Amino acid sequence: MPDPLNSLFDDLRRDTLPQVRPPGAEAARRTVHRRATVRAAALAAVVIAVGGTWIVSQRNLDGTITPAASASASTYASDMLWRGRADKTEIAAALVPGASHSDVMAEHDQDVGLEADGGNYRLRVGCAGPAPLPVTVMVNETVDQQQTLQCTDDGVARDFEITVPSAGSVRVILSGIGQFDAYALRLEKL
Amino acid sequence: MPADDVSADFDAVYAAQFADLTVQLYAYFGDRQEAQDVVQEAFCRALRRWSKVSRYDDPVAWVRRVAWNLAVSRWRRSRTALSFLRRQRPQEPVVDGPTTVRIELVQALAALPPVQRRAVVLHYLGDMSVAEIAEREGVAVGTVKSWLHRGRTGLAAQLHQPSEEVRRA
Repeated sequence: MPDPLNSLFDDLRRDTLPQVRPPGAEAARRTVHRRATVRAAALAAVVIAVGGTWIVSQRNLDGTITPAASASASTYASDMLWRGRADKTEIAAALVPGASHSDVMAEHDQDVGLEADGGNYRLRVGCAGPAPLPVTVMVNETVDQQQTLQCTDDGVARDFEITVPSAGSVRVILSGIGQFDAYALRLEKL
Repeated sequence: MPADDVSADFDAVYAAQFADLTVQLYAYFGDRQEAQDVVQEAFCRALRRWSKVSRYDDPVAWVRRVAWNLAVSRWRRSRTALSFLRRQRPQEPVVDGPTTVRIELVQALAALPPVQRRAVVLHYLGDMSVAEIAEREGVAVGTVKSWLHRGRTGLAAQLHQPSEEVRRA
């Protein structure tokens, strides 16, 4: 017996295809070019800021320049512009061996989706950085647990024990309140 | 590979695959614009590393995987890059509204759990076999068969089709 869904999906495809309006390959090129430009500009701004900050920090009231003290210019700039240690990404990753996701928090929330069959899981979240990091764990689109990690420069990690009743998804939402924090996470079946 | 060839290759893949991928994700999201955004983002990511991706055995599979990963991770809801993509959208022409059958099918799909919905869409619109879906999802073949069976049953119930018409995987 033919599968009746085949014809329904064929109809869906036939009805929808004419309505798809691709932005175009050129638009993709513009997007990639724009992002590369933004990255380069941001890098240039950091370099300029580092240099400027370092020069200002070394200048005495009489205009003379003294040699740098103990803190390096790059560490100082990192503290000022990005906040937190320069190696915070590595610190967070070290707290979560085998992490599937890791990044540095931007100003917006990070929403990570993880597939999961039914069963018990341990979600390990590590962070290193200057701000508290609120973590929301959702199981099959329902809030399961919420906790704020008190991130430090030396890093902290928390384990969340999760039960997934049936095959579905686990979402981990990291609040943008934790901007500049480095994080790493891993979902492990028990 | 010369740069021009790389460009042409990307354009060809884009032209051949964009609409089809969008239909798949539209069936998954129920929102055509959102589906287009995600597919466009997937192609942007492919373009950025096209010199490498184009050498894969199946570059389209890479783009499809990225698009679905973006869809599953809900990246689309949290990335401000979308606002830029939206500004690039061509003006939508006035078109006929969706047919009743299409609305009902998309609504019925939306009522399925995400994994079942994804399996059904990949199978019926992505033309992927059970084994291919299992590999993509990182689960056993039997799990995908179960998802498809439940998905078909769920769709049949939503669409008021007699469940005995639903073919078993």
